[in-house]
Amino acid sequence: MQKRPRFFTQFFTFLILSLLSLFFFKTNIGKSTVSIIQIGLSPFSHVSFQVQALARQGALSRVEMLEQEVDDLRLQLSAKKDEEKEIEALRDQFKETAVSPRSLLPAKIIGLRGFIPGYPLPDEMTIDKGERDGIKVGQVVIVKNNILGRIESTSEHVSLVELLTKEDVSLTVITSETRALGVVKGQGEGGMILDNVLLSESLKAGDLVLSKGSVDASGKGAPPGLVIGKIHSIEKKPSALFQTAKIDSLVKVPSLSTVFILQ
Amino acid sequence: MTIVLFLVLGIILMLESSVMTLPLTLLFLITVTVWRRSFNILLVAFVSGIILDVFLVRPIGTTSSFFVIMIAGMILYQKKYELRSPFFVVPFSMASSMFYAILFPVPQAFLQIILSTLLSIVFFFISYNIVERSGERRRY
Repeated sequence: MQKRPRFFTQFFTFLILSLLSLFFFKTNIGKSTVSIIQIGLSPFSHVSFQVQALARQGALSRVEMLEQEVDDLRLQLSAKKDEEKEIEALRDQFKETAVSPRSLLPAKIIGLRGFIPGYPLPDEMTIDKGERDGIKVGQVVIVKNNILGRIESTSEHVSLVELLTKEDVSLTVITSETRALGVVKGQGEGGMILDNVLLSESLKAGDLVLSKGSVDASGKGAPPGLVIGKIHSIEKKPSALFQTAKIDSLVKVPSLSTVFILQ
Repeated sequence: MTIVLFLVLGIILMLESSVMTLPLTLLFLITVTVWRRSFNILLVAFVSGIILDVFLVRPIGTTSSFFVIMIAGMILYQKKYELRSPFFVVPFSMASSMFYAILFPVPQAFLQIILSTLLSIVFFFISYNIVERSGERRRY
């Protein structure tokens, strides 16, 4: 007979504690507690992720490795072309362009959660850098010169990154060769489409899609010229207002272990 | 036995916080509640929820509140329903996985709910065999 009151006491104690946690962990003492938990337990989380990453890398076939190499070479070629264009522009203007210095903060991926490990392609990742390292919501996450996504939320030592492939994520872009303007929209499960491209613009399969530049006054956002991916297939209907294209990312996110945050 | 359960819980927490979106911790807590009707599971549910919140950068307290409510619900109905039966575990796991997917949206939620339900059956029969072999069932 005494069991039921004891149950309700425990239930309400933990429920109230949980609800209080929502407020407590926003205070300074709460944040310090979170820091201790994150620092103390992050090696376990990191080990778990590394074991899975090693298993995935071992599973990469030779064809996939060659594909990755071709993509890298394509990227280098595009960078050379951009460099040439930049030099030409500089010559034309006879003056230097002032580019604000940006620093890159390396971060290790400690969480890349799929439905089951590796499937489907994740739309979010957790990194081992947080507010204490100067990470802010909206900052862009890159690897080489490819945009992966942006910071969605932060805590003291850990941040959550939403990848460009996540649904409802969008970014203004321009194609490398044909200079067509559009918006890249995440489709979930590793998919992206290039949308809002006028029918008068030309799109080409294999063309690289670059960021147009969306840096705001506080310095957050994507700088221009970073690679989003390459055009895989184009859908153009005369009756439609815009044409769309399917985009393949050049980065194999599951095989990554370190990313960089643009600060 | 308790040490083994804590070890398994640790591994499950590691997996869920770094590589999987399946609600393994929730399924584990449900399975343990079926066999060990101790109120202390509420404490385990609370702490596990806090750890998941910390690593998944969720508002701290949301997962723990959810876990505490679900497990309390189970304990509350233990006299009305036969908990130690797949006919209770399966629908309860399915419903709780569905609420979990609504509260913390994931891609392919429907498939996740189905797989969670199947996993709960696997968890139930594994735990059933362990309990049968260790003879712990006689204690209840």
